[in-house]
Amino acid sequence: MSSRFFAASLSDSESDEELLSSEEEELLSSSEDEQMESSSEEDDDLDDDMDEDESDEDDDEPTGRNKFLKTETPQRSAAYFLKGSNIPDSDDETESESDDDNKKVVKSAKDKLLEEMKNSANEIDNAADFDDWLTVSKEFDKLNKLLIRSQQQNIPTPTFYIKTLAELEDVIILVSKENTKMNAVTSKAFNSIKQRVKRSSRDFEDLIKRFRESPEDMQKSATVPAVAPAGRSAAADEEELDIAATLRTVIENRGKKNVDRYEQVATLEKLLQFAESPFQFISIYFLLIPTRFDLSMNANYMPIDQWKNAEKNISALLTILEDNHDKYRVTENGEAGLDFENEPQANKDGIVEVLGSIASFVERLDDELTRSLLVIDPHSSDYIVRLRDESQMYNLILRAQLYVESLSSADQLTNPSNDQLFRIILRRIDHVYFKPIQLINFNEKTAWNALKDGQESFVVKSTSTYDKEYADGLVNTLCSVLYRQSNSVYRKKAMLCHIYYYAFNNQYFKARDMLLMSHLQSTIHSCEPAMQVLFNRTLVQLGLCAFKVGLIDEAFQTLQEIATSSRQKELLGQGVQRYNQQSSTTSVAADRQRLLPFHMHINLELLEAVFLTSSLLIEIPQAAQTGNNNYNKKASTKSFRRALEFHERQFFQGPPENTKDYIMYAAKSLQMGDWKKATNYIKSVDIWKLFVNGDAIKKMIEEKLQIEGLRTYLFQFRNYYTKLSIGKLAEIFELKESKVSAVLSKMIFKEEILAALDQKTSSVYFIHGHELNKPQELALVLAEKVGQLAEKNERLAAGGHQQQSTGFNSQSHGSNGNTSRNHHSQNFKISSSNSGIIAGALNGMDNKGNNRRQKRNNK
Amino acid sequence: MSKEYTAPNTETVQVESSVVLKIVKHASKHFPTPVSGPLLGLDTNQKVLNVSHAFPFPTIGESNEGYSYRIKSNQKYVHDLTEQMKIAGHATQFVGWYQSTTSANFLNHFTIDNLLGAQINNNANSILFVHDASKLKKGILSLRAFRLSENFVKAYLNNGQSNKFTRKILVDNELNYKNFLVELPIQIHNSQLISLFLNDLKLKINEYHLDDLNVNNLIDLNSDEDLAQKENKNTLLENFGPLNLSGLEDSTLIINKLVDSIDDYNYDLNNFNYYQRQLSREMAKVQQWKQKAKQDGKPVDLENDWKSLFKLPTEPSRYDNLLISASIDGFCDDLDLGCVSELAKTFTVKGGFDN
Repeated sequence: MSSRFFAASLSDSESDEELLSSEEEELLSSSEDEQMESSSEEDDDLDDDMDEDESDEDDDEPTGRNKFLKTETPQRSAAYFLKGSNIPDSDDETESESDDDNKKVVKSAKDKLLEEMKNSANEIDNAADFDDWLTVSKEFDKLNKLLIRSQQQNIPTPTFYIKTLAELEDVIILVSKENTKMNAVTSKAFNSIKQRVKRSSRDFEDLIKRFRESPEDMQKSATVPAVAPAGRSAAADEEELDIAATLRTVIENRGKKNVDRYEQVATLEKLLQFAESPFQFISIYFLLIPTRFDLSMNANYMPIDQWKNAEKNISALLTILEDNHDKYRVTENGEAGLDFENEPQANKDGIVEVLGSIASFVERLDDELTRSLLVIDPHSSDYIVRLRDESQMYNLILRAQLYVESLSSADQLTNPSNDQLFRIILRRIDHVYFKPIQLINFNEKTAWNALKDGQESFVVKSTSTYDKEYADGLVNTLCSVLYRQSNSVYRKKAMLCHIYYYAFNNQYFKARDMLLMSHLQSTIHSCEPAMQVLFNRTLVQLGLCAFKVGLIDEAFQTLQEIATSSRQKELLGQGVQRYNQQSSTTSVAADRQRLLPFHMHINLELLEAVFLTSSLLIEIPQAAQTGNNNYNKKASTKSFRRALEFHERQFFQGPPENTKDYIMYAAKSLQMGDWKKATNYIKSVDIWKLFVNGDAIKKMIEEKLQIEGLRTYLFQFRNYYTKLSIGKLAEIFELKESKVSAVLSKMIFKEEILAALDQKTSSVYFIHGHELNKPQELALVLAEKVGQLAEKNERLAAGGHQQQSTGFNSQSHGSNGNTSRNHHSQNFKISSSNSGIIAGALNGMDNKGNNRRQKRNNK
Repeated sequence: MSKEYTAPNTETVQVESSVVLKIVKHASKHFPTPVSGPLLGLDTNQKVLNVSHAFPFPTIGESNEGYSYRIKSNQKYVHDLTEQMKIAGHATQFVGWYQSTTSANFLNHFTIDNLLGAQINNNANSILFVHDASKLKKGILSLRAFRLSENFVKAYLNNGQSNKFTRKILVDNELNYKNFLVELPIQIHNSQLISLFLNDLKLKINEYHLDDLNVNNLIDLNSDEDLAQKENKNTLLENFGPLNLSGLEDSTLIINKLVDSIDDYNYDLNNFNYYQRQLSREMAKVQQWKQKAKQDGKPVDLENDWKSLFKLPTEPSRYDNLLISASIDGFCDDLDLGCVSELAKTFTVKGGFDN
């Protein structure tokens, strides 16, 4: 603003334009002013003060003190004395601060405006005298426009405007009484001016009244909102009453329609400057903070500046409360009362209890932060900037926790009335559980440093050394407070966060044991969705953790359910289902509420990579073991198999592009026994770097691939060998011989391969001749299918009976029974003929194998 | 477009042996691709339907059996053929199709729909010849004549010519997977010329010891008593046929098809189970409503009023089920037949090993 003014001061016209363009910016504040001015008579003095304050804040306006002087006795500004001769002499002040070096001195825009208005007013006066209503109408229009502009520039309504208005009113009344004849055009103009004057005078009713009462007083000052001559000291007498009254009006207006909430916030902010006693501050803050939250009631999220203000307000409130902790305390079960004039009676300890909830403020503020994070594009720098506020938020939570703690004592930790504290602790956990230890410690450190010395928590002690133990201890103690609550929501949430924390920080067994002992799996289905989302997140994190520590099977089993789901995003609270036609807008909103901000997300691509890699390590040897047909396999790795089949069926297999491609290629190479290639493929997935110790993970995967490669190789090619040297195998797979022997022994022990280890020659002998041929395999499949069919038929028959029992339409269930009977007979036929054959065939084959074996033994 | 449907009156089919030979030749030439062609003959309105000519469709390699009847060019081909026969002075008309198949694979929508169309619109006596080409290898000539049963066609017509066969319709018309197709006995009629050719062929076989099983069996089928007695060597040669151990291929093929059919069947059954569940749920609601109405003592027609309040799910068609059941039945029969010999072989081999 000020720089613009410097630029503008070159010439009159330019400055005018410049100011015009800035009008929009100031529209907001000035319109507030205007409304306040017209609000009520009794607030007059207050309004004046506020005007003064407004201008205090503006750089380019004369300071309050200046104005104070000016309005009393119009003065020449300093500039006048510096470059006096150039300045056109005017009664009004000229801008002083801006034009130090400029030779050419200009009238300030304000002066110009006022001058123009004055001219218009004179015109109106003259024209009205001659009954020239056309001119009056024109000039009045102009005057009004100028007035609006002047208001936008925070220029108080000039007295002459009021004067003009009052005079016009008089003239109009006079003219209408006289009933003088006018021509059509003039009478039309007269009528319209009559209406407009009426409207305008209604706006300035009180001022006009005052003008009529004492025109001299008013004329003394150039502008209407003259500063109360009493000044501050006088105002102080009334302020107590004012604060209470204003607070009451604000409360009454709260929640009503068509109430300008910004105005209310501004009013309350003003009040803060007059408040003196802590009680007043507390009362004002208790009204100001919720009103601020109300501002964004219908918006997507709270504007950031408002959020920051709210944060400031809350911490200011906390400061006051901390300073006066021996006099006032805020409790959620204090006595309700809207009595702002009188402080509530102090209780027996001499402490005044005020109804309110710090926890709610903090929760609300935190929610608002989350909401804004949800809306901001997570890939923009705005998000990061916004995220910085999280540490402020964390500081505030810690502070609030300390304050609430100070209200109770350590032995009250299981008392349900201490709900406030637990809520804050829960919030704190919310901010902690998904972070790595270093970050937690950093946050803790800044938060404790931001506090005043000597503040101490009996829940979690501050420390000088922030290390792993501290973070562990922090989460432990915070959670254990919540475990002792009777409300199961606290316990569940704390438990899940606790597990998540351990899982995230690589303590798999601890996390797993906790999850198993919590028995949450059995009850989670009945929990609220947000809790289920947290459960899913915990589960996924546990799976990722298992993978990190090299427990492939566990990782696979833990991740399977969520990784194969098509609603991954929804389950993890990271997105809403896109095409949900049935859901109404309310349910969409509810869904949205469940979402988590981006920085808490679990990377889905990482999840996919981990899941696919675990599947690969399990599936490929298994596929090799059972042969490449699709029958008779464990259904556990279906999704991976399907992906692999899809990959194979592709018309054109380009070079790998995404994670899935890489893993599919790795799977293909591993199938061919080329573990090195497979390792390379998997290592080139760059998502691994998301893990803290990505290289260690890669190393782990490589080792696993070596072993699984060996197993796959043995399964795949055992038919072509009678014996294999262990040394050779060790060479191919770059493993130690002892390791190879161990793997082989395990496979033999599990009867995965029929073979024997020869320690003399250090080689493995394969025993052949027990594989199934095609018809036998088919027969097995057929048996399975027929089993399914029989089951379906059973169900069909059962359905028929059900219907019979309902006793509806005898015809139809009769026929139903009939058909099912048909199916039954047929079914029996199949099972009797075919399964007999199958069994026979199999028996024959088995016998054959056995006989051969026997023969060999005999030999 | 449709004539009044009258019940078919023929009870047997008489086929010229040339027709049989032509079919066999056509089928074995393209085996295992299914082939088909129109049958021409004379419907004398007696008890016998005479089939005198068969022509292969010019198109080969159908994706679905029975599909080629639908191809426009083939329909035109049939039309042209009958015209040409008329010009040539043969008293023939279009009486049906033949098609080659594997086991009971011919039972599908296309085949049945076409046959249905022919029986309603063309001639109630229209028939379908099904030749199982896969059995030729084992020395069995399988040629069967089918016609849709009268009840089936009537049910179709009464049902507004749609394939929506509900259980009620099936029961009312006493239809099940076994009787919706009627098999007609076939008589093969040899003209003197053919008999001569066959005898000649047999002599040649004797000379060169051809063990072409196809031909041998054909001869068997049309055997003259005296000729068969003469050819002792030949019969011995024939009898080695069953010792062929490689017959498992056919069973494999059939089992594969059977597995597919069972999959289809299960799928269909799933749908039906779903319907059942829906229905019972709805019925429970109706029941509840009825009880409530009774308690409230409202003057309602308990038997009928609920129909306006509740909508019962529509029953899925049982038509697919019928076809699939029939084909499963067919596959099973064939498997049963084939497996007897396979089993015997297996145990023989086993016995051999044991000794």
